[in-house]
Amino acid sequence: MTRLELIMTRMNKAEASELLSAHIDGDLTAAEQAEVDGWLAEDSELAKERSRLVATIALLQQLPPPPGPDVVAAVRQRLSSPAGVVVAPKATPTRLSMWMPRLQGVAAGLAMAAGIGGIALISTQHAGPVQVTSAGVADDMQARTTLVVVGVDLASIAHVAAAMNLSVEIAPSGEVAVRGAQRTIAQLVLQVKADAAGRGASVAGVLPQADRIEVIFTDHAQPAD
Amino acid sequence: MGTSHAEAVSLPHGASVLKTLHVFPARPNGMVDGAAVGVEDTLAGRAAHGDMGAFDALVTLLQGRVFGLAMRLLNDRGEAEDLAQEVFVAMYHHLPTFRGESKVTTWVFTITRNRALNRLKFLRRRGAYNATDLDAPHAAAAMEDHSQRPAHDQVQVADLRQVLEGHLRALPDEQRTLVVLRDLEELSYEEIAEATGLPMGTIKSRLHRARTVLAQQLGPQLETLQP
Repeated sequence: MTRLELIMTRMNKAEASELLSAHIDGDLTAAEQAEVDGWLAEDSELAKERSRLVATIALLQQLPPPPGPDVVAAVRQRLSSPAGVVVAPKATPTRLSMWMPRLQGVAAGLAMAAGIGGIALISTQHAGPVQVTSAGVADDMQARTTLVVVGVDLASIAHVAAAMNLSVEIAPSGEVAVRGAQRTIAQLVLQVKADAAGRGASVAGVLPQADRIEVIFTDHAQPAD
Repeated sequence: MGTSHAEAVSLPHGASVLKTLHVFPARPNGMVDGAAVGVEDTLAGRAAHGDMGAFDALVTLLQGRVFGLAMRLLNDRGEAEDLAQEVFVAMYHHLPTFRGESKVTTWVFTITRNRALNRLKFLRRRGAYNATDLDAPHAAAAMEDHSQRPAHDQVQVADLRQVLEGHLRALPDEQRTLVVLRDLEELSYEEIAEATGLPMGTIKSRLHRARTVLAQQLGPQLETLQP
């Protein structure tokens, strides 16, 4: 290899800089390692940059883990509850306090629904605070939409969705996100629409055509999305 | 599972969990199909077959790390606790189909990371998440620009850690995830690739960018730590 070829193929400083993290982690090929070593030997600025990274990583490794709760009992409780619905005081009041008013009466509603052998969206007074949890895995949604509901209790929708084994989350604003199989959510929406129509209420919006979707139920006329 | 495993596991629930570990038939840490099997993987195997004692032990072993990752991604204790519970419920339901192609810790981190990022998207879409609305009371102070301080104004290491914690919170989600998985949880690049689904080159470049940003933000104070 000629001197010119050596110069042409040699890693430049910016490239060497890009590899400093991997150099520290010992995750370079032998050739890359030699190139970066060469740069570090002759360029004090790069060597200083590497030292700063080493110190930063050392500090990161010293960060204490945030003290966490013991969740074994709570997990067991979630597992023993049908459809992941836990009827219990919420451990963290920050979210509960925001949606508790919407959840009043849901337990009574569910009990009534069970009694008549079907699912009804009933806003009945009154029961204790309840917590809706995700019932299944819903990491990758293929599409999402927002449905605007008028005259239907959003918390009731959340509980019916949870009873259908859908993943449910309630935003502090009260809006309900439901994730899962499109066909199951379609059944939920049909139920909501049927109940809404019977009471002079309404549901507006169209479900996307995809296997797994997320639907936001909102009672705001103009959803944020 | 042998005595050595029971001794190697430090659990808050001590007696009952250790008893559970002791009654397992001997199946020590070792090599199975060429891969090292850790205590978590052994417990996962038993939990998948309905051993709830093993499941509880597994949750006990992993809950601190899962909560820590969730907390550092979500910046909210209540959200992180909810998420940690969700992760373990999901883990329980999916253990029977877990093929063991990766370590159970990597798998659980994958669930945690995916759910945390989804939750962040949801909260931001709903306007319920504010990056400055952090759990730590000193977060705002930690976010001050310390890079302009004179070097002789030495910051104690503990203070510097707090400053670093603040800057870590301010990183973009994906970069923060990579720093936590690599530098705090000490996952290998391969494990991070499994957990995030990102190509190796992307992981390396983003991790380097994140570390560089943190180093720059810490500024001259870092010099005081160097030998």
